[in-house]
Amino acid sequence: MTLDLASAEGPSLDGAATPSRGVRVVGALGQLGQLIAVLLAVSLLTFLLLDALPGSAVDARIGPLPNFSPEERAELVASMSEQLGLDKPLAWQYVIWVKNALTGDFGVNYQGIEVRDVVGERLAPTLQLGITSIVVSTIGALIISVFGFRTRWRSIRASIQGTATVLLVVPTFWLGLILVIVFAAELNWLPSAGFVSFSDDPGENIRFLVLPSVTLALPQLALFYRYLDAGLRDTSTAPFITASRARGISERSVVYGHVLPNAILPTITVIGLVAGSLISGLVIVESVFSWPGLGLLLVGSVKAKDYNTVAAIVLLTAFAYVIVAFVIDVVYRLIDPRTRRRS
Amino acid sequence: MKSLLTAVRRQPAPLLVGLAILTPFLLMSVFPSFFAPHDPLKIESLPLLGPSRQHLLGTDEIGRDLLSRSIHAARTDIFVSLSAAAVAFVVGTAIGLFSGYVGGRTDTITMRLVDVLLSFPTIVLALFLITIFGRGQWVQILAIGLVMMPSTARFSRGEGLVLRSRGYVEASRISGGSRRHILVKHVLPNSLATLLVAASVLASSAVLISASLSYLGLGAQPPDPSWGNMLRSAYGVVYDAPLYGVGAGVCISLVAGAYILIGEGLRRKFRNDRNVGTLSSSIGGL
Repeated sequence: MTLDLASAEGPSLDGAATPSRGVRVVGALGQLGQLIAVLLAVSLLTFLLLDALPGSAVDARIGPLPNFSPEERAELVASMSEQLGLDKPLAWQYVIWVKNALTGDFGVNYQGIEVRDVVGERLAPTLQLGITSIVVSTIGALIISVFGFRTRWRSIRASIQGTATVLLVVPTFWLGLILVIVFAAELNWLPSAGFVSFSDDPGENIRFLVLPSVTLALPQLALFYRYLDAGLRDTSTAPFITASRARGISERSVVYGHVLPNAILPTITVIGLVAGSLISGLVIVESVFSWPGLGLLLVGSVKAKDYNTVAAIVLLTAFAYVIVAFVIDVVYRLIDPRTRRRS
Repeated sequence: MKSLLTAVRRQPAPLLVGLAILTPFLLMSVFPSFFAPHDPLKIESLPLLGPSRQHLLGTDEIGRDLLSRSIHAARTDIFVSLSAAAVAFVVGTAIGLFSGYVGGRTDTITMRLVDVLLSFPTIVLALFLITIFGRGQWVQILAIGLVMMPSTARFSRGEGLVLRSRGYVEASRISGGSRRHILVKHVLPNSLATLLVAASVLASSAVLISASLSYLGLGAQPPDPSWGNMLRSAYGVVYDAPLYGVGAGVCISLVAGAYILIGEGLRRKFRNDRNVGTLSSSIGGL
């Protein structure tokens, strides 16, 4: 996975930047307003980049359409140009584009199929894979970091840390290849690639799910572990922990009652951000394992220069990220009073 | 000479190990023909041979030497990743430190703009840019740089935000230091340690992103070798030649890992040096 250590800067101190001493509600509304502004800006940027396409936008966007005769195609181009308001100013085109996007209308893909339908049928597999990997990596990281923190054996902790570091630099597609070689080619326990939907055959679905979700989860686990481990170690030297120990509180309740809750805080942001940008990992893992999700669709569409589909996925994933990040920010303010403090 | 040796020995182990791993790759990227035993584009033997004395890593699907291809791939992969990391670092820290230090409305607006860019998941944005602007190497560098820039800005903004309320910054402000003076003389030097650590993470991410793009078939184009597209070919022959991808995979991991080690080494070094001399002197001592 591509790690974004830099983006996880821990508690967001935005509160310090908005010093209004007004009513809380105004602040909350301002936050929501900012959220909407970011969403609009995201869509504007997507639109402008699409508009930067060379040649006639419609011509480029609908692609070759192999199933259409030249007359049908010309007709489609004309009707789409009118529909997209290409004779109108750019700002008006944007309004039309957003309005269509909001109703889920992204036009047709290069084969003339509604983008909405193409994207829609990829959502369930992607969500299944993504959510499984986040759950596995979060639980795994919690167990392993607490174990590593509590163990008396320095060598155990060192080897866990070493493994985590290695996992962060092994590219997902190589990790996947190794797992495929071991568990599919050599041991023949699991299928090397493919997908069976859960409604067709739950057992097979899970067999196909194992390798991709583990491949996706391992680097995430390593990342979460590193944050948790650093958090645990930092917190354990804090004065209030020394004070707890000095008061004779049992090591167990010091770890679970004081160190862990404080160490988890920064990690929550990281988990949220990774969850919000899961598509980055999914693009690779779905390509590796031919998992028919959004990531695989995106790569295929990029290669086919299927602009409408690409734009729809870009917008969808960016919106998902913004909303997830917003929710984390709100949750963070609720659970950590320090971030509410004003400078 | 002896003092040089002691100076080297005093550096943190991860830094030394990281540099020891990275240096050969940098040399290989500059002089690939010197290191490669065969021509990376010439068909030398039968396809898909396993490792042998003649072909240490075996041959690929049309009989080219895999070791030589891995070595020549260093040129593209290292050039692309380092350039992209440099783009992201310079632009990102400039924006971030300024924004964080200045604060107020400037900060809010800048960060919202950064948020907009940050809202696009890395690979998705890179793929989008490549779809629109084509597949050239410079597009690739700028695309990777651009997708990593906002996180750098956010990160360094945090540094600026923390440092602005430090005693020595406030002291400088009270004694009439200009904004520019404080940013250049106090904020930048004191955040440099953290920023350099972030830069090494950036370089590491850049290696992985550029390898991902070429794995997806959107980076270096065949017949030119790149670690990513070699691994892609490895999937096709996983049952016939399971060791095909080892060279490329190890190269990516070693380079990405070397940067992480260097970052970790720098972190330790700066932590130890905090009380001994100024930061600039310790960087000069590298």
